[in-house]
Amino acid sequence: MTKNIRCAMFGVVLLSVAAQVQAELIGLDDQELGAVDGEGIGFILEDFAFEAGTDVANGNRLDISGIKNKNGQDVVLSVSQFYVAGAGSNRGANVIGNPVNLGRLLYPYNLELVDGDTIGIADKAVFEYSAPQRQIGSVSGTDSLLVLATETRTEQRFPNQQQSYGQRVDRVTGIDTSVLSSRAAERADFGIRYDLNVAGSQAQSLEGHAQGVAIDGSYIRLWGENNEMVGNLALKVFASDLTFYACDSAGNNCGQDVRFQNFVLENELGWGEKQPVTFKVDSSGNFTIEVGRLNSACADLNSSGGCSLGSAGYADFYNNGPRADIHIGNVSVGGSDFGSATISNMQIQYLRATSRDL
Amino acid sequence: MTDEELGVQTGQAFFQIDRDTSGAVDFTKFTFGMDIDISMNSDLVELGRYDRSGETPGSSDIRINDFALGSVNNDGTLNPFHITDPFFELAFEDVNGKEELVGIRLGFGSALGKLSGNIESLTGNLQVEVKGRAEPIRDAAGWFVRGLLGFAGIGDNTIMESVNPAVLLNPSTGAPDPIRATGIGLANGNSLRCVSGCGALSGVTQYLTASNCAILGISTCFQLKNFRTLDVGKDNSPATGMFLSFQTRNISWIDNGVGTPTVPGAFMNIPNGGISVDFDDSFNGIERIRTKFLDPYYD
Repeated sequence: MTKNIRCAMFGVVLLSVAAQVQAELIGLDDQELGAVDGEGIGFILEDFAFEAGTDVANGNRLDISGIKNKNGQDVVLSVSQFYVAGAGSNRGANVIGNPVNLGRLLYPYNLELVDGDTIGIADKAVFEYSAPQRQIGSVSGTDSLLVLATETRTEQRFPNQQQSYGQRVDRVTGIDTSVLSSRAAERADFGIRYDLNVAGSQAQSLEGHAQGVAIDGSYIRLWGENNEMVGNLALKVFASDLTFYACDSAGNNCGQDVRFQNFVLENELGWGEKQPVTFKVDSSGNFTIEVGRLNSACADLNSSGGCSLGSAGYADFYNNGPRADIHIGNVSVGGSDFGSATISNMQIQYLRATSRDL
Repeated sequence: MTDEELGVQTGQAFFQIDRDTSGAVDFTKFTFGMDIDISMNSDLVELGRYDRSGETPGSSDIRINDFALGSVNNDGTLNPFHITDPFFELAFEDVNGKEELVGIRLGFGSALGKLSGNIESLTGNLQVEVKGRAEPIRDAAGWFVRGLLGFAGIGDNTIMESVNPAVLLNPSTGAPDPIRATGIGLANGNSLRCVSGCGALSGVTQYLTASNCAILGISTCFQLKNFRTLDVGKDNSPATGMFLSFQTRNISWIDNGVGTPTVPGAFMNIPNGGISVDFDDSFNGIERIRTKFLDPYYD
């Protein structure tokens, strides 16, 4: 695969460095490491543009092979026409000469060793890779892009049984972009094309384009626990516009746009050491992702498995624990609107996903 | 894994891509070989909130409040919802020489467990087998009808079932209504039949059909939101064919050679035989199970 890459990086900024230099390297235990904080690197990509795989017909693409269909035939998924550019990329037509700044000096991307005590992971040094941080929104009042309207729900679980009472999300009323540190010029356009080849025959082409993308607030945190690596993840994505459309096997005769406007994904997995996320690969090559099971922390149980004593830990989880929100402001196809889609305040109490051969 | 162990691994078939055609529609399906256990809660699952002709303004294709998968056991442990082989699928159609993306769906090879929520509106296919002791039917009947049932040999312990599954419908008219439905029950024309413990004349019941949400004055339509927890799968056997889709036109999604027709917009399919209730559940609803350790429906 040949590539046409234009990439410029003007700033790599060392935010802080170790103040002392030791002549002898001495291993640190967890407690000593846990007190380490702030040594890290912040970096920005200034005037960045990337374009690859434009000449698809001449093999200018990345082929993902080794995939079979249910009949055992070879399937090849090709990826091409990938680009990253500034606003106004016109679906990849205006990439070179139209760069974007990813991060800036005040709000860079960070590689950092964090004192775990400050983020709910006691006596651990936590490796953190993070995108520019978020702000408290002037409208949302939180670090979420979603402006939520809540409602008081008073519903019984069954006639003549306990009535549920409380404030819960009713709908999304707006998008508060003041949460983002990335300014409009720091939100990228992305695009990609997929082609499908089944048993040597070109079958389908699909293009996707995203405008105004920011991942502010995302992070990966990793640390060691009982001789295994555990972590917490947050993936927070905003795109002002996502567009998909299909084309024929040659990439021509493309159909109407399927548009997602104001796409918001705010997904947190794991909650400090109380609910770590683990990733394992077994000897057969299959993998397991696990979001730790919330074990009963009640001092005493009632007859239905809840807490009759000591529910404060759970109250903290349900009020302040990790959550996921997914929202699409409007789905439109051609000239028709299919409205908004929202999954709000989703909290995972346990997740275990294990791969296996089909 | 050691280098040697890694060295003997060859392409794990955990990912599969299939392409099929049905009529004018081409399908491309991406399947992941996975076993998933999940316990989760969500304030709101709402898809397709837009004004739709003939429907209540401000309503949605699918709206489920306090949605949850899995449950909490009495001993304070979690009982996760089981999913195998999740997939997503795209549907394409050639329209006047243009290749159109006309649908997308997210589905599961199989699903088993508790699905809870207050279903305010549902566009889709939810077919529920209704089978059980006849006592709740007799209790719901007036004295005259109860007498007729007794004369026909239908006692409290007689086992009856609906001839066809209960479906989404208009809870006022009994007409099937797969779009933004708020009710479920025996659609007009459906009837009951005797399975066991039947009297000599019990067979007459299948000639008594539902009309305008009633059979002999016994209500046969119910509010969907009264069914707070659904058992997906039956007798510990997973249900197959569960999916959530969005399409711009009527599409029949294909599973194992069998099509499930859908309508434009968001659509949820809970397959035939996936859920079974008795007559007590039908008349009274199903109690929401505990889904949180600190649960507003219980604590």
